[in-house]
Amino acid sequence: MMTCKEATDQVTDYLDGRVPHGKRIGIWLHLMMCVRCRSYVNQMRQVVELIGDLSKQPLTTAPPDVRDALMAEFRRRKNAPADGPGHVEDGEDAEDAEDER
Amino acid sequence: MTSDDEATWVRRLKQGDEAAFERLIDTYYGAMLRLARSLCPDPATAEDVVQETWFAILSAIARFEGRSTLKTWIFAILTNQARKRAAKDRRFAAWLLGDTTEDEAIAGPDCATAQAAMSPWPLDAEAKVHRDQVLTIVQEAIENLPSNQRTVVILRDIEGLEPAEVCELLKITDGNQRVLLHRGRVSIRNTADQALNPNPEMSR
Ligand SMILES: [Zn+2]
Repeated sequence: MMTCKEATDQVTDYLDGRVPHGKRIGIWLHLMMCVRCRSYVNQMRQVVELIGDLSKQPLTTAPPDVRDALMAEFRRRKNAPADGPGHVEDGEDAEDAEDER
Repeated sequence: MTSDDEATWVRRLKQGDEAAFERLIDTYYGAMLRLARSLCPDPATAEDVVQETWFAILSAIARFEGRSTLKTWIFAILTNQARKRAAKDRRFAAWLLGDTTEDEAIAGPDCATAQAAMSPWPLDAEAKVHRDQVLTIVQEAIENLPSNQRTVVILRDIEGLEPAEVCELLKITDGNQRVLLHRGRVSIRNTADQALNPNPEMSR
């Protein structure tokens, strides 16, 4: 039988559904037999849920001056579409962001 | 948000629609700052990186083709900006520049830790106030993680990005991503367990 350490080492992959079938059955059998690891896996599941709940909490909003500055810059670029080449460096970075996918 | 909604939103952004840009600020400013704080050595640098990211977004939005979600695209620009900054600033964590020497085996819990897990957490039976307290503990535990673990936990478990997206953003391997996520979650679990079961031997 799989040891407690072997079983709990794989808990992240297990909860992600990324453990191959054979190993998955081994973990599952261990959890059937071992109340401690079962409790541990449940706690890890709760941890993932709790961390996920943080995404529903309100975040910092943009300070009014930052917001105004960004809106002003957005308007300025809209009215000066030829502005693009002046910012090639930034543009390259952003293009990387998509090309690398 | 459906991908249709997002496509419409992006089209409006490209057309210079101010409401669409305001929505972009309202939707992503906080998440960008959270990610930047995780990557940067201090809050002021994080704010700088967020600001640089906004300027890069303004320059590049016209060329965004929707091959990733808007969120992932913005995070990719932000991590690029942070890497640029890290190249000039030694206070940044080494992993941001591709130093992944930390790639050791998973430090999983030993049996003693698994024994402590005997006491189930009193979460379900408790009122909402209790859950909020636990959330505060979890939040603090995240903030105290090493920056690479923290960043992976934020991207995977808070922002809901796919493993492959996280690897791409942070330039790490899938194996490394899994180890960092696992270590981060284990460490948060241990902190929560200490708070919820301060004396597991007694409660058994
Ligand atoms: Zn066990």
